[in-house]
Amino acid sequence: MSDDLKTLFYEVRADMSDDFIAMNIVGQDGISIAREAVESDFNDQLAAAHFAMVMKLAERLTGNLNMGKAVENQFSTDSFVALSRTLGDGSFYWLLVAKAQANVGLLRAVMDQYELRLWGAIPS
Amino acid sequence: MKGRLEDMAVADLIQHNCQDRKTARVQFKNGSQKGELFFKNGNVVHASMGNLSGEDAVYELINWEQGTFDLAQEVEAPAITVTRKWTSLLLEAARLTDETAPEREKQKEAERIASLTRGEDEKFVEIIQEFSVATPQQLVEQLSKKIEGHRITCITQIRGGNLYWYASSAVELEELVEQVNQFVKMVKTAADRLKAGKIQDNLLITETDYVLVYFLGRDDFYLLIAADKTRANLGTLRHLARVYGERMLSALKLEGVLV
Repeated sequence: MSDDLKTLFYEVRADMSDDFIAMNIVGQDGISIAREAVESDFNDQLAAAHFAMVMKLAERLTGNLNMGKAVENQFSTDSFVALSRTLGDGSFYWLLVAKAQANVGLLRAVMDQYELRLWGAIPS
Repeated sequence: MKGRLEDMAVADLIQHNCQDRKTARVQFKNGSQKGELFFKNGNVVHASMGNLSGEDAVYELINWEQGTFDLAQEVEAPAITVTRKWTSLLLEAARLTDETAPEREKQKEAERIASLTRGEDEKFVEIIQEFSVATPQQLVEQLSKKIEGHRITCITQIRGGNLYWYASSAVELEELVEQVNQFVKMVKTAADRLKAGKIQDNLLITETDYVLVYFLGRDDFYLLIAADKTRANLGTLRHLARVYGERMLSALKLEGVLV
């Protein structure tokens, strides 16, 4: 992980409550280029790979249905909530996972605040 | 073209317009009651009568034996609420008429009782109707009308088949549901692999729309809502999905769709 991404991940983590579980920057190939996770049974790299596939399918679906580009996906279960957001030109996704009771509005606000900076920090 | 239902029955009008593959609107009037049917490319695509819309409205209109109709060519439907082929609609109407014939007297009595309350406290009656036991289709329509920028609401199952639905704008329902079904299957796979527990919902946000999938108590039935992102409120959308999701679950169990 680049130093810029490390710094931003540290800031994002600091802006979040104890509900944080994991976050990853993942490419369209499903491989994470940056990750941060608490010690738990949650497999963040597997999640990143799956949600990259989900986002790719979402893009195809919204294209077919003339709904514009897919920009975000929120997935909730009784154990966690996972937000995936397209970064920049769509070549990377940001996956943010928190406990089920997390405040989704707050998670989205954090994503709004950092998405451009994270995109800018991805090594080119 | 104008005429009387005593001369040409609603079923005959459906048959003629569908066989001739007309795009048209037919307005019906029977005393204070009004209804409409819309045709496009040889099928009925929308119907309304009083508070009813979709197939329910078609089945009611077909029973009208008197009144007038007014047919206007090349009028497009404001919504798509009927997808069943016209032949199948007429067959189902015939079946329902047979089945419900003894109920008609009871219905007339119910209408008479309802008319007694009219003007006394209509708001109260509306509230009672909303919170009384409703069918899944009625709940779908109630929910749809509460959502700003609503496009479509649908109760569907992952194995295929739309059980109940309501569209506020022209939507290719089959295509939409097929595509969303594929998407939901992938989300389910991710949840299974991650041992994520019970899935509650999945919200896809696009440049123009919210597409919310709310699971109805189990992971093979879900409520799908699509709404215009510029008009719908995300918090309200999720809240309504939760409230109506619970009510739909009960209604589906009552109808024997869910055990």
